[in-house]
Amino acid sequence: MTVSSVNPTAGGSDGGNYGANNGGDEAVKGISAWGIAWQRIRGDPGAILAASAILLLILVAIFAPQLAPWDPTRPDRAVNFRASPPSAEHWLGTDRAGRDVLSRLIYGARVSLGVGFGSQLLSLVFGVIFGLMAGYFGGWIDNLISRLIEILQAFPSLLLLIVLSVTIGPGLVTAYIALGIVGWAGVARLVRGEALKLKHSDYVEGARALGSRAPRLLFKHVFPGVMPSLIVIYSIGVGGAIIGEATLSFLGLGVQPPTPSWGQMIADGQSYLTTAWWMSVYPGIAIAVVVLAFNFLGDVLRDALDPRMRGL
Amino acid sequence: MTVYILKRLLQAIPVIFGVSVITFILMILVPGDPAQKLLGQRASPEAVDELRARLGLNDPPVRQYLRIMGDVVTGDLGRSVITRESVAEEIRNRFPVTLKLALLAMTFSTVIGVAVGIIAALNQNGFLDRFLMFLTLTGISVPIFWYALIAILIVVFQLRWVPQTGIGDGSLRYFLLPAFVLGTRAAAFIARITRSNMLEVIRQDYIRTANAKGLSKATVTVKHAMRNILIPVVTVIGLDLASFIDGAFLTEFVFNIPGMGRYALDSLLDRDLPVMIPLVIYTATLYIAANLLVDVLYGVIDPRIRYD
Repeated sequence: MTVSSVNPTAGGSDGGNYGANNGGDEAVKGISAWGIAWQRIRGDPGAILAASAILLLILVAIFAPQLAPWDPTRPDRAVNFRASPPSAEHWLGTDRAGRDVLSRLIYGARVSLGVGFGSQLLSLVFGVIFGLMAGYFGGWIDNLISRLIEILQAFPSLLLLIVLSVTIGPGLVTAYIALGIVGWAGVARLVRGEALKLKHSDYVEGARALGSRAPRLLFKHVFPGVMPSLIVIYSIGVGGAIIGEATLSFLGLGVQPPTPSWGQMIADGQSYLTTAWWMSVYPGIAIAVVVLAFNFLGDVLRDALDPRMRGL
Repeated sequence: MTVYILKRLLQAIPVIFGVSVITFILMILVPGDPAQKLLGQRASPEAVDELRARLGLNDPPVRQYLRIMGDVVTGDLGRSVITRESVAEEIRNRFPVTLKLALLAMTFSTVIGVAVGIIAALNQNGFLDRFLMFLTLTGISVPIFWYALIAILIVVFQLRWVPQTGIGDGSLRYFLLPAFVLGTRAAAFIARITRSNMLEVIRQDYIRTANAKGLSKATVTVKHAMRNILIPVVTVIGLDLASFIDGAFLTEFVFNIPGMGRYALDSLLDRDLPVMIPLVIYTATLYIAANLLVDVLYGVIDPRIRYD
């Protein structure tokens, strides 16, 4: 657990510390899961590239209004409201309504990243709470939560996503909720397993002997133990959620027009593949690049933080 | 083993029950009146009401649920609200199409995946290894519906190897491209796990012995090493089964293949309840059964695994 070169920014007490140094004794300074992750990313050119791509895209999403050369929802008169091939004016062409594909891609990043990060945060919060409760308390609480996890995981995820979207009604909020619901079961299952293991570990027993009560025990001592796995799950989960959102939008069940999203743009261009390939090709590349970056990062993090899963 | 299978089957019952209840609740909450849909927007309120009564839509939810489950279990399914076709007959016609697509895709993914994984492992950390691993990660990251569109654009429209999408006369050549598209993701997964497992296996003593007694590299790889990478391949197929089913839905959708996936997706998008409910429950049941089958297969492939 002790790594000699500790990153100064990483040793903080942000809840990610290994070991139980909660009470004054600072003799053994651990390194947080974030610290290990950061060291690993710094040492891997591919990981730096992936992280930079994600960072760049976050900036693009934030500064979309400043960066987009055209209004993403207003057709350009000059191209006669038609799909025009990539040109000096419209670098990636225009869609069949004469709207600038590049600008729509830039605005679409907001939807993709927003839903990706947001829905997985939702999964993480619910997954951690229910997983910790199931693993720690056991008994009927565990039974109830475990059965619910099993049932949710018995649905192929796309099916559940679509059923939820149809039920709640298509839209941005629906995408958040549906992807969040689909994701939490996996997180909860993992957290439950870890909590079960950690429940009887020496340091948790020790904290209990010292009189820690359940909520404090769970979040202060059990939660940090699952932190590394959660970082990995989150990274890969965001990639999956971006594909999930794109799939919903492709089927017309995600974000509704006029707000542009990548999946919707692919669907728009589906009937014009031979005459206006740029309508569908570019948004697909955007999705592939982002998801690849998240998966790559997830891979590197898994090797660093979760050696048991190495190579999967 | 038999005890284990029986136990797993018993455990599956409450899960399938839960799936059906959740499906039913969600379906009831779907906005829109099926009776209205059946009769069209201009139908009189009285006519709609009468049909609602006849379809049993005014019954209490528990009774509706029991009736639907009865129909689902006995296979006595209703008719589509949209096309008026019998659901049971549609399933009979469409299931073989999906089965053909799925089996072909699994064959593709296993053959390509294992081959790529072994080649990568034998070139560990070399250029070819890195390139193949990057390729597999890309294969996992690309959204399948877009990948299918690009495949159609290139193979159907540019190269003209197949005259059109859909299944034409149902002959095998129409299935090749969609099966390849569907199998890609699984192939990428299988390649990655085959590689990492192969790397472990080739460091084992018995492989060194086989090499030392002068067997050719090919013999060692195929006869000694490969047998031991079957388990992870089965694992991956099990782990990634959900994605495979999702992929099949979307592949059929984009390629316009009249299979179960297309049927399910269309019914969901049209909110065609009499089709949706049985299909969702059947798919979930199939998925649970397939998972069980994968677990049992472990024991068949590797006699060291015991079930208690």
